[in-house]
Amino acid sequence: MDALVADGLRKEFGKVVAVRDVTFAVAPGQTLGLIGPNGAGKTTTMRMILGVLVPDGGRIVWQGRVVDASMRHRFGYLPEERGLYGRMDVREHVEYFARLHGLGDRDARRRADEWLERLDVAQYAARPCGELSKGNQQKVQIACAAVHAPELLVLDEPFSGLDPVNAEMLAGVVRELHARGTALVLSSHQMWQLEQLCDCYCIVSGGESRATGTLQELRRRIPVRVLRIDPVTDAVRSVLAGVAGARAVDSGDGVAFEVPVETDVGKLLRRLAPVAEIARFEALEPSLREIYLATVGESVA
Amino acid sequence: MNDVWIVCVAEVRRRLRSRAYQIGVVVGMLGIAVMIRLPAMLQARVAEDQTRIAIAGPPELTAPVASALRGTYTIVAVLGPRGRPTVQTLHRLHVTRLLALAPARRSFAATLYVSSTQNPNVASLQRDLGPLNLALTSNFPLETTRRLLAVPIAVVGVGDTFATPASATVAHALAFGLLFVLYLVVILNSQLTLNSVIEEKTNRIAELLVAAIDPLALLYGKIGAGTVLATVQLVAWLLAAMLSGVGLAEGSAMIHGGAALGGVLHDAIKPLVIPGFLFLLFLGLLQFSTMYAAIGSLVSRPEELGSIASALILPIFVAFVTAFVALDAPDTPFVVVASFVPLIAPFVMFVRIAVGATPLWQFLLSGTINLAFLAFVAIAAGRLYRVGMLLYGRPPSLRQIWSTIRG
Repeated sequence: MDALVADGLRKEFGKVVAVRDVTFAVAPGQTLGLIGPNGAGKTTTMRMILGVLVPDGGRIVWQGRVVDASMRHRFGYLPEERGLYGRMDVREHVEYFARLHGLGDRDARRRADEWLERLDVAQYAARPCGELSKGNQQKVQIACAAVHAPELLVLDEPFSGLDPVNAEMLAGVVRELHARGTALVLSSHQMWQLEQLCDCYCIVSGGESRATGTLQELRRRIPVRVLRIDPVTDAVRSVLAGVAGARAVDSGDGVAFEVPVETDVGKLLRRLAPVAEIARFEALEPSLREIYLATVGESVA
Repeated sequence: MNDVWIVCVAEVRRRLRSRAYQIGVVVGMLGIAVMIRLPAMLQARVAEDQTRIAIAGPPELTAPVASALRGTYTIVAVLGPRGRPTVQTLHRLHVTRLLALAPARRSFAATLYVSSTQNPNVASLQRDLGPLNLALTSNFPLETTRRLLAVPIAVVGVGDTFATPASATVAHALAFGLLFVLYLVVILNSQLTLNSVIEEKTNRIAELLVAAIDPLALLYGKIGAGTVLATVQLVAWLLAAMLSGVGLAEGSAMIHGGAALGGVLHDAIKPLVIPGFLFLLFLGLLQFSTMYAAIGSLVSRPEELGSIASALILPIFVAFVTAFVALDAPDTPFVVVASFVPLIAPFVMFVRIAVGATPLWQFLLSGTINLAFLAFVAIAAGRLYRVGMLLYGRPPSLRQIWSTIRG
């Protein structure tokens, strides 16, 4: 059974349809990357999952039950635009969010201390949040989102504004929570980061989910593969010309070839070997970025 | 309920640390102490100035006049006949008034030279010199003329408000002071609730909070915190008032013809006044802070607050001014009607029960109307708050606000 199911979500703001039809599922302990261009409806979808917004259509199911207010305590959230109470002490702040998520006083304090230690901000525990650097404030925000050990953690653009060190620290936290079995939904424009962290993806565009699945499943949607061959001689061009559907493309750092996904790459290499001196022959699987661009471009077209 | 409590506790801690609250409590305590002490100090000073007097004229007149005035006035100097004095002469004598006497047809003519004509207080001199004038003119003994001119007038209240003028004075003073306290507690704490909501919106914490708990729990937690802090503030202020008033009360233990202070207070403070004050204070506080919180949730940036500030201040200003009118005329039709109108009623009804002859049913009816209004405000504010806390960008139109309130 899937842990989280978003089924046909729809949300309108007056005449504007922010989310038209978003559907995806997250298995227990999996991390889902919610990808899409700005204004695609990612944040609205996340807000609906958390009960911040009420869907106008569709339903959200958590562990087999339609999500209601009583489940909010089990979820965690790190919104894209986030803040802190400037005058509240760091520890008190994290404790407050722990208590809001249903933890008792003692547990809240213990967990707050653990997270502050984990994120290397324990030395600032008694300082007002407003006195911390931006990077340390972001760490406190992460602690607030995760302090109650949520079963589901939703992270909206968690890496935006983070320096490489803090981004790596956050990625570590995400991996740790994933390892503990927390289901995660995160959005980001950093495709390479998502590829490292996510088990499955949902590509959203124009308020609709255009593609969902694991990277392998998404790759199957792309009908071509890219071959990098070096050097590209006339003989190489001549052999590739004989492959049905193959075409030369500019790969940015030279010429590459797109061939249909069903092309037998091994056989092609065996045909090339006798006629050309090949220094490099590489069959590339499409990256998440390429899949994303192809899917979103398709939907825009 | 637990969420409301958690928010309330955190909010109390947060606001206790805010400068606005700390300054409000301390300045309020000092202000109340000054308000109680200053009038008495000024009055003593003014009274001292007005009772110091110099007399000038022929000895056959200054002697009996000085004798007639002694007791009421401090005769600083008795001078011989002289012309119009300058203000420097008065300063040199350390007086603000000089009474110049001249013989005139079997009696005397008096001219009062004063350093300022603003409050010459001639009536008091006329009262004190009247028996002497009559004695000189009629040849009656001074004791007889004194007795003749002191017409005994007894003041007896025939309404059911206060038995004596002393009680009425105390009741008005108390109503005036408590009205100020009511006004300050309501406006300061409603403002703090508004600031807190705006801070959460502009800091973008709001989204995190409403993801964790119901926005209504957040709203009611804030209002609960405001009520707790208002109580703390009230206790501090009343304590300051009591400590400042101790000396004064002892000093004025006998008021107006020997009436005992205890009796006066007993008559001045009717049984409904204290519980009524507390009820109306919390009613006003809840009405205003709930309304302010809802309005604050519609503000995206602090600078937008300027455009709605007048809308926020207007009802409280109207309420305060109407309550002042009620101090002098608590039972006029306009004031009676105002004492039922939500937002205004907590102020006006309090003054009415403190100084007027307000029937209990009117108090109860006003309370019921205002509690019903509070329930409406709480529901409407909840709906606005739920939407407003996540609303950024252009402020909503009145039409959108109304449609949100209607649900």
